[in-house]
Amino acid sequence: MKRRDFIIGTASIAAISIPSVYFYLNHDDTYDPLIAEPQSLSLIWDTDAIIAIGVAYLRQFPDENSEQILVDKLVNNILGNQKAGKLNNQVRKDFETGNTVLIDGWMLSKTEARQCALLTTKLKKQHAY
Amino acid sequence: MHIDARDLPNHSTIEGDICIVGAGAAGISIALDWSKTGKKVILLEGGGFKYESQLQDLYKGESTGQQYYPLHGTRLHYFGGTTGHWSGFCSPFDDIDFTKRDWVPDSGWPISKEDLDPFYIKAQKALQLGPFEYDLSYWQKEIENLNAFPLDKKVVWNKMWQFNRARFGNLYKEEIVNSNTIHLYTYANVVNILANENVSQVKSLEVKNHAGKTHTVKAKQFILASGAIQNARMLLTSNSQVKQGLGNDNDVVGRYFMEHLEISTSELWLLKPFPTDLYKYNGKPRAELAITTEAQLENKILNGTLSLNPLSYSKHLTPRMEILQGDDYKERFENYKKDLVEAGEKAKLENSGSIERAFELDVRIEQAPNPNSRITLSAEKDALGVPRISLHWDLTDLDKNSIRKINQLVGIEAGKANLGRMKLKDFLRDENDNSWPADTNAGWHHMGTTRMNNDPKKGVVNENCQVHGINNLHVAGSGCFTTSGAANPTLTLVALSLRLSDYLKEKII
Ligand SMILES: Cc1cc2nc3c(=O)[nH]c(=O)nc-3n(C[C@H](O)[C@H](O)[C@H](O)COP(=O)(O)OP(=O)(O)OC[C@H]3O[C@@H](n4cnc5c(N)ncnc54)[C@H](O)[C@@H]3O)c2cc1C
Repeated sequence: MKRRDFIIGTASIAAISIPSVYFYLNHDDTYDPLIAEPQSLSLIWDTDAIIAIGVAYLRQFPDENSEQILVDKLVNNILGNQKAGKLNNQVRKDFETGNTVLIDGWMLSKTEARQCALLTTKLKKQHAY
Repeated sequence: MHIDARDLPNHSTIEGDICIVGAGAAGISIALDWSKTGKKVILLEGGGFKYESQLQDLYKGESTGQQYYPLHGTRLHYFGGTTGHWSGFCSPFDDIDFTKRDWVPDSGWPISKEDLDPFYIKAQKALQLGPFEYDLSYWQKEIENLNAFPLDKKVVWNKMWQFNRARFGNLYKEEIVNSNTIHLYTYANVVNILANENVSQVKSLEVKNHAGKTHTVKAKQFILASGAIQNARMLLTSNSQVKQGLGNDNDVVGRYFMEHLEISTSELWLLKPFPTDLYKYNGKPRAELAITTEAQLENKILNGTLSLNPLSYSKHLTPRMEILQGDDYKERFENYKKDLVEAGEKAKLENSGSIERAFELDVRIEQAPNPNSRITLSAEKDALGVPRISLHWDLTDLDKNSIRKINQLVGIEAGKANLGRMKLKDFLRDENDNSWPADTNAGWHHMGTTRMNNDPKKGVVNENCQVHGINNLHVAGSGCFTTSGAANPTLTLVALSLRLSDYLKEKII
């Protein structure tokens, strides 16, 4: 089974301590690479699982299948520095305002689902996956 | 006092002040409530003191519609009734369960929760539970480590439960057999109810057993307490004077059959370990996540809860509706028990010893009242010549939408509180899918077949559980429920039976 076809099963989410996806990425971006790390989800999923959600998200929202579009959508409305940190507040806000998506059965904030998608496109670009 | 009806001379006449049909939780609670009144109580029990397949066979029936358990596997036909194998989960109904809700057709009891509260206190005693306390704050003072999830109280609250597998057959046999006023007749199956000429009063009951004996029972007041399906069956089958059966002038008897849907609906993954015993099933009071009245109103959904079970265990369980099919009662329950044990063993092997962070959420929800969900008489008869029953279990879109919404609400709140993330099961993901999986579980809770409504066109019994139009015939049990509530039925059915008992005392004494 190709990695990107991987569907999240309990096996991949049973692992709890996850190395930050940050270390998988080349650091030559025009944006803070931490934006591509969904912090809360990293507490319950490993990278494979995050990518599986990213793939499913992009299948559901094909018009967002571009790194630039995803970055824009994630940080455009966030003012000032430390945008990655502020995304956590955005995740919470998403749940408060009903800005959620259902991906492979998971009820996720749109922001964190996009973060999964961003990581996926990024790693695809780097041929890591 | 105990009399085996097989030993009486054929065609005996049994007489008393009050006659209770069925010695389950409902019937025994009422009988004991009368034991000190000095009145002669006739308690008729179809079975003996233990399980007998010949008796259990009388419960066989057929079913159509949504897949259901074999009907003879959901009740027990001997002294103590279905408490002989119940699980003892108890919690009272909520205020909202009794109210008329615009979005729930045929909702609204003629009584309120307040009317029932004094009898809940008595029911707690009959079921040998703790105090009538179901507030989280009370139990937090009594038991350590009952920490509640930090979810928005405007949407989610913690509904407390108490547990006791009170086996009425064991608990109360001695007291009843030794009583001077309670006359327990075993092997006394009521097969027919005979009324006076204008069918306004019951004259007598006809009782039969496998020994070929037939007896007559006379009393001032009669109470049917043989379970929701049997009570309706008895009214329908008593059709020698009125074709459609007793109390059935408006074709309501047997309709509005309701169950509790108990289905595995989602997973909750906590972002961080959350040390608490509040949601653990360990025999002590525990909570389920319930939806507030306001949120039910806003979302136009039924009342329901989500219970948490460790995913490491639950994921190995076979759906009950699948495992409990088949003809043999003992084999079915052996398979069920084996499945639970095996799931436990598998979970133990996987358990890393850390605090559980992944849970399966099981919904427990009322079924919307639905006249098409009903029991009728089948063409086949049992060994005593009584038509068997046919169940058509029918679920509605409101049931499905409510289950989906309850999960969504908790999922959103878990996200808002950054507590965790929820994963919905396949059958709930598509908002337009109103179908039901074949293995949709029910709780073995039969309700609504003789529903309470003061309008005879909408109910079989009035607010005093009296059958409309027949002034000395009453029904005790969950068949009288107008709506089925989120909580399991037995605590409420015992409370309602004790309320009926009180009412009859005022009438007779
Ligand atoms: C496996 C299982 C688990 C359950 N767990 C729970 C739980 O955790 N919590 C909860 O609240 N509820 C639970 N229930 C439901 C609970 O057992 C019932 O709600 C309760 O026992 C019903 O009591 P009852 O007295 O109304 O009827 P029954 O217990 O059915 O008693 C009826 C009595 O009438 C007798 N009878 C029947 N027909 C006749 C006749 N024609 N003439 C004379 N006598 C007759 C029967 O032999 C029986 O003794 C469970 C049920 C099952 C099957």
